Formats: sequence, structure tokens, C-alpha cells
Amino acid sequence: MENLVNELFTKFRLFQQIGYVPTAAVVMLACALVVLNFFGLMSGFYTFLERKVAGWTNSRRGPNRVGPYGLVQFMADGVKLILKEDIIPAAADRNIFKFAPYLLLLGTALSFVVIPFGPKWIISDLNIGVLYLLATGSFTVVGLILAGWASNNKWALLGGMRSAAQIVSYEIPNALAILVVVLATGTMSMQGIIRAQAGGLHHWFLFSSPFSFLAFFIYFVSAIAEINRVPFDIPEAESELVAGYNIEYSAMRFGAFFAAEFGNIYVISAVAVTCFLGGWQLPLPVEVDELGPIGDTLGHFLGRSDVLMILLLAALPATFLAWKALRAFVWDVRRKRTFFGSRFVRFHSELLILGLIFAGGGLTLALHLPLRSHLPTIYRLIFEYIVPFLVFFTKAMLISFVVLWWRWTLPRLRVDQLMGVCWKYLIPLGFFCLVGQGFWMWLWS
Amino acid sequence: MPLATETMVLNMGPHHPSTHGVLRFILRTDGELIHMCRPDIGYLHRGLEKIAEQVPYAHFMPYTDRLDYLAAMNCNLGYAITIERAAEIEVPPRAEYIRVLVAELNRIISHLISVGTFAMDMGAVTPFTHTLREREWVNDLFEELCGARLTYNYIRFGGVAFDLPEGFLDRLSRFLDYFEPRLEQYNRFISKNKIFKERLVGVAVISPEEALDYRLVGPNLRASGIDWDLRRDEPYSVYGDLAFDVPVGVSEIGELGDCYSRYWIRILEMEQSVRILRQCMEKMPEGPYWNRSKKKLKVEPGEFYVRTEAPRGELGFYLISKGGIKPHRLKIMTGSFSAMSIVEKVGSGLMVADLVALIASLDVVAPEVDR
Repeated sequence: MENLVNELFTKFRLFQQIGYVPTAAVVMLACALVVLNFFGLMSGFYTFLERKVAGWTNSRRGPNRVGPYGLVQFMADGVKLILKEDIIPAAADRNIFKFAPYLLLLGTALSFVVIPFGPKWIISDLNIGVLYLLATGSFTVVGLILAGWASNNKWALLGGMRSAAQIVSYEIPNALAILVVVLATGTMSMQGIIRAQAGGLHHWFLFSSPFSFLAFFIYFVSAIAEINRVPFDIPEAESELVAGYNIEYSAMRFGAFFAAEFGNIYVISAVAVTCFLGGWQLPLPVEVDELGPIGDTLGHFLGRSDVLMILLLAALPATFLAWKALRAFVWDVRRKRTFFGSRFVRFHSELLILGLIFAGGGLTLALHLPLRSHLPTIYRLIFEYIVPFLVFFTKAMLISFVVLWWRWTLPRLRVDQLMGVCWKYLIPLGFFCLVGQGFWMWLWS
Repeated sequence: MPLATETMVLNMGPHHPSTHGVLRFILRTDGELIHMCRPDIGYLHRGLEKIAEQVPYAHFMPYTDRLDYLAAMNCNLGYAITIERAAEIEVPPRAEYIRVLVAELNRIISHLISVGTFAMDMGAVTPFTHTLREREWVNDLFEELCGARLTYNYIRFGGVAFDLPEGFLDRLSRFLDYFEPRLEQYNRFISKNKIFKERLVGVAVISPEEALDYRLVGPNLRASGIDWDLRRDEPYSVYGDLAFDVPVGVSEIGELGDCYSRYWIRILEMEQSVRILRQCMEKMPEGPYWNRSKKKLKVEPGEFYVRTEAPRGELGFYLISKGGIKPHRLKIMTGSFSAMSIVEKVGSGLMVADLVALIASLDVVAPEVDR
């Protein structure tokens, strides 16, 4: 963000005219908009993904009505939540009750500031990035306690107390596991930690030493506990506390809890990817700085290649589609099927979607022709910005999938067992890893 | 040493996800720790016993479906046997085998619900949907048999309402072939799960003496190590001709009479029910399925008590007849009712989460408690 402000200020006369501080303010606003939208979209996407994963494990389908494959179900749910009546219990502590969900949202949204999207793409690469993340994570517990207390409901109170005990305890192993990585890299900046893992799979902290390998699992378990997911979802244990801290909430305030919860899944996945899985580094011995030149080369190649080849590329999928449609049509004619029961009609939506994808692909390919001279630049930008983001995002999604998968597979622990796991196993293990990592580094130095 | 703080009264139910129906528990807790737990029943009281006095004998059969809606066949069977003994009605052999077949099938799906909701109360949602998937299949079979999926009203005095449809036994055998490996799958999925065991082993232990004192029946009693099953010890219908084992808790995992043994007994009973079903299919005789009487049913004056083994334990019908077409009094003893009485004894001293496990392990069904 700072770089962007400086760049805009030095390069564009417009920004020089309005002054440095207003420029910074504009950039800040833009960044906030990006972060909040990304956060909202991610938590929406996670609600979709969670329900799909639930469907797969529960041997049912999951959302499939709104949009293709139920993809925009979360928007329908969001609209529903906004339209519902926001009930505040008469006995509740009104102001705190209203304020608590926003505290949760704030904590999660602030975490997104230091989450990298790519080597040159981060809102703010703070030099205390990881520490900052731990701090913003602690907003959650305040929000949950306030919600539990202000609801003036005994179940909510129990939920709030459980979450307080749980989150405060699990922050310790969480921090210890991250400290192992900080010890190994000597920096707390998110980008710094990722850069330290350059050079292939065996440089990732998951694989680079036995102690950081262990630390990854400590981090993963305690992070899941921090965001109240199964098997550590005791603050909202449905079968015990009905709904826990959010029992009295309705409408969008209720939605806010879940937006924060699902946003948090991305945050913990992103931190796990950053600290242990090499962030946006490819699992190949390719430096990320070499990606730009690769794009450059590809662009040059495509720029020189023939029109015919591009058309051929577009023709292949088109033939496939036509073949599929024809087969369906023949099937219908043979069986004298009309509209109902027609395969052609039944697969029409599928064909349409595939057709749109291929048409988009074809259009993209066609666009290459006029942009021939700019292709190296375009591909350089794609390889510098989009590819690392995709790498990062894919890894984060894999981690998130495990989180969701656990949610629908495991039973939950009892509250005393939960504390036992933290204080008896994770914290001693965390200290062991920290000391061990120091020893390991001394051994190899 | 636990620090004592101010206690609070926590009202669990009548609407609560883990009470599965309208049950209420009044808890006095110190934080998570329960000092006193008192069940409050009666929210689902429909006066079934009073209704029985108002209607002719045969008209009460549909009400027994509602006695325990998860095991309607077993309730039908218990009531039918009571009236048959009182009015001395003969039952043809084919009908007897069909009755045992449907009763055991109903036991399986009742235990499936029990196991599934148990897992759900422990926080694992998926086993519930899997057990319901299997139950759906049996529901389809029952629908084929008598047109209903939940409240069957299938068994009649002197037989059953309909004969087995064409190919029913083949479809049943296909289901059993599918179902037996599923049990192993449940064990891998949930019974052997570390967290699940951690939650249940050694929790809410009921000693054999306590189980007898509080009249626990059925799987809950056997889980406490008391070898008592009416199907074997007081055989009714054709159970005497069938070979099956009665699983009894032996504390192979955890303590005798803890929540885990009550859970495990139900898994073992499902295996035995499959065994009984296979024998029934093999031995199924030909012949009439209903010894239908044209006369209006009347019972001679007298007192009769008949008990049968329903999925939730002993189901007893105590009938006082003063002659005529209606009973003078019909008292129903159910397993869930006696299971509720021990909650107060065992529940205090547990944590809130353990109480949920205790209720789930007793497999209490609200309508059977209140009747």
C-alpha cells in the first residue's frame, strides 16, 4: 500500500495536485474496499463450500437450486438474513448486544490486511505481520464474550465463557507454533517468511525440519480451536448449548457471526500456507522472480504463432460439444422423446455452460491477435500477479477443505478434555518444537 | 480442587436439540458442573391409557403406533399379544413369522435412529444422515408391506393385516446384504473414533444394582451386565424356535454400564436382529396370514399382564377387563419411562455435555415417556 501511494504520488500529476495525505486516504479507501469485498466473497464462498462438503459426506446433494451448482445460494441466504427482523431481547444489554458482532467482523477483516495475494500483492506488508495477526485474532474472543454476556441468556453465557476459556488457551500453542517459523526466518513479515521458503518443496517449513513439521500440526489444531470449528466447536455446541453465544441473535447480526467465522477459515488457511506451505512459492525449484521472464517468453511465442493454430485450439472443444449435442439429439429421436425426458434438453444447461466457457476461451485466444505486440507484457503481468495468487489460493483451499471435512466427520470434545488437549499436550509440544528448532538451526549452521 | 461459585438454574428443554422431543430437565449447575438434574415429564401426554378405555379393543391398535413412533411394529405386537392371550385367539404360523420379521426389522431401524442421534448429540452430524439413509430403505419395505412409513397399524388380533407382497423377501434379503457391511462401516466411522470413545467411556456409569433398583429394561439393563431378554427368557410368538444371542455389556471398552456400553449394545443387537431376520426368511411357512374372526371381540372378565421386548426394553400391557368390548383399564409400562427415573440419580455430578450423552445413551423417546 505504501509503495502504491508513493508511486501514484510521484508518477501522476493529479495526485501531486491533491496532496500526499489525500492520496494516501484514497488508496486506503480503495484497499479497504478490496479487503472487505474479498472477505465477504470468501465467507460467502465458504458457506457454499461447507454445504457442498456436508452434502458429499452426508450422502446428499447440498445446495443446487440457486445458480449453477448452487453457487449463488449464499447471496440468496444473505438477502434473506438482511430482510429478516432483527430481534433484540428486552432483557439484553442493548448497546453491547448490537456492537458485539461487529467486533468479530472487525477482527476478521483486519486480519486480511496482512494476508498476501502474491509476491507484489499485499495490502500492507507489516514488519510485525504475524504478531499483528495474533492480535487481530484476539478480537474474536472479546466479541464472543460480549455477545454471550449481553444476550442475557444462560446458554449464551455458557457459550461465551467456554469461548473465552478456549480461545485464550489455544492462543498460546498457536503463537508457539508460529514462533518456530519466526525463529527459523528471523522475520515476522508475511512476505519475508514466504521468501525464506523459496527453492522448492523441501524448503517449505512443513518439510524443512522435523520440528517445524510438528509445529504445523500444533498450529493447525490450535487454529481450528481458535475459530471454534469441530472438533473444538464447544462455544456453539448445538446439542449442548443449543447455539451458544449466538442463541439470541437473528437477521444480519446472526449472519455477521457466520461471516466472521467463515472468513476466519480463510485467515487460518492463509497463515498456515504462509508459514508452513511456502505461501505463493511454487512446489518447484523455480524462484518467483523467474516467473515474469517465463511469461515474457510465452507471450513472445504466442505472439509469433499462427492464427490457424489459435483457431484450431478453439475448434477442438467446439467439435467435442457439437458431438455431445448430436449424440443427445440422436438419443431423443430414437426414443421419440419430446421436451420432457429429452436428453438434449436435460443436458442443455450443461452444454450451455461448457459452451460459454469455451466461447470465453476462444474469445481470449482471438484477443491475442490484435494484442500481439503487447502479449509479452500481458503474460509477464499474469505470471507475476495471477499465477502466484492462484498457487496461494489453491493451497489455502486445500487446507480449508480439511477444516470443512473435519467439521462433518468428527464428534466434538468435552470442555475439560478440550482444555486438557491444549495445556497437557499442545503447549509442552510447542515449547519442545521451539527449543528443538533452535537446536536444529545450530546443528546445521 | 474445583472452585465453587454461585449456582444457577438452567432450564434444558422442553425445546432443546438433544432432548429429541419435548422433554425438560431442570438443572442446577455450577458453571458446567451439574449439581442437581431433575427430569420434568408430561409435555407429550396424550392420555393414551384413557383413550384405551373409550374405544373397542381393535380401535386402539392405531394408538399403539403413536406409543413409540420409532418402533410402532413392536408396540402393535405387544398390544396384539395381550389381547390374543386375554381373548384366546389363535395365530397362524405364517402370521407369527411375519410378526417377528417386522418386529426385528423395526428394532433395527429404531436402533439406527438411536445410534445416529447419539453421534449427532456428540457433535458428529454425518453418521445420523447415514443411518437415516439405511432406515429409508426399511421404510420403503414397510410402505410396500402396509402402506405406511412410520405408524404402520399392521398387526391385527389373530394375524397381520396383509400378506407379504410378491418378492418382498428377496428385497429384504438384498437390504440385509447391504446392511451388514454398513454396521462395520459405522464402527470404523464412529464407534472406534477416539474422540467419541473419549466422550463416552466411563461417563454416567449405572451399576447392575442401580439398574435393577430403577427398573431399567432392555438394552440399558443389559449394558449394565444383567443378562435378561424377554425374547429368550419368556419367549413369545416364535422367538423360542429362533437361535440368537443376547448381547450383554462386558466392559470390553471402558466400564460396565457406562454410556459407551449402552451404545455398543445397540450395535450388537442390530447384528442379532439381522440374524433373526435371516432365520425368519428361511423358515417362513405358507398358509393363512390372518385368523380373522367375524364376531365382535369381547374379553372375559379378568386381569392380564403381557410383556414383550421392544427396542427400548420391556413393553408391558396390563389389562383389566370386566367383560364387554372395551377394557376397564389398560396400563402401559414402557422402557423410556423407567429410563427417565435414573437420570436424576446419575445426572448429578456430570457436566452438561455428559448429561446430553446420558440422555442419548438411554435412548429416551418422549412420547413413550408420557404416553
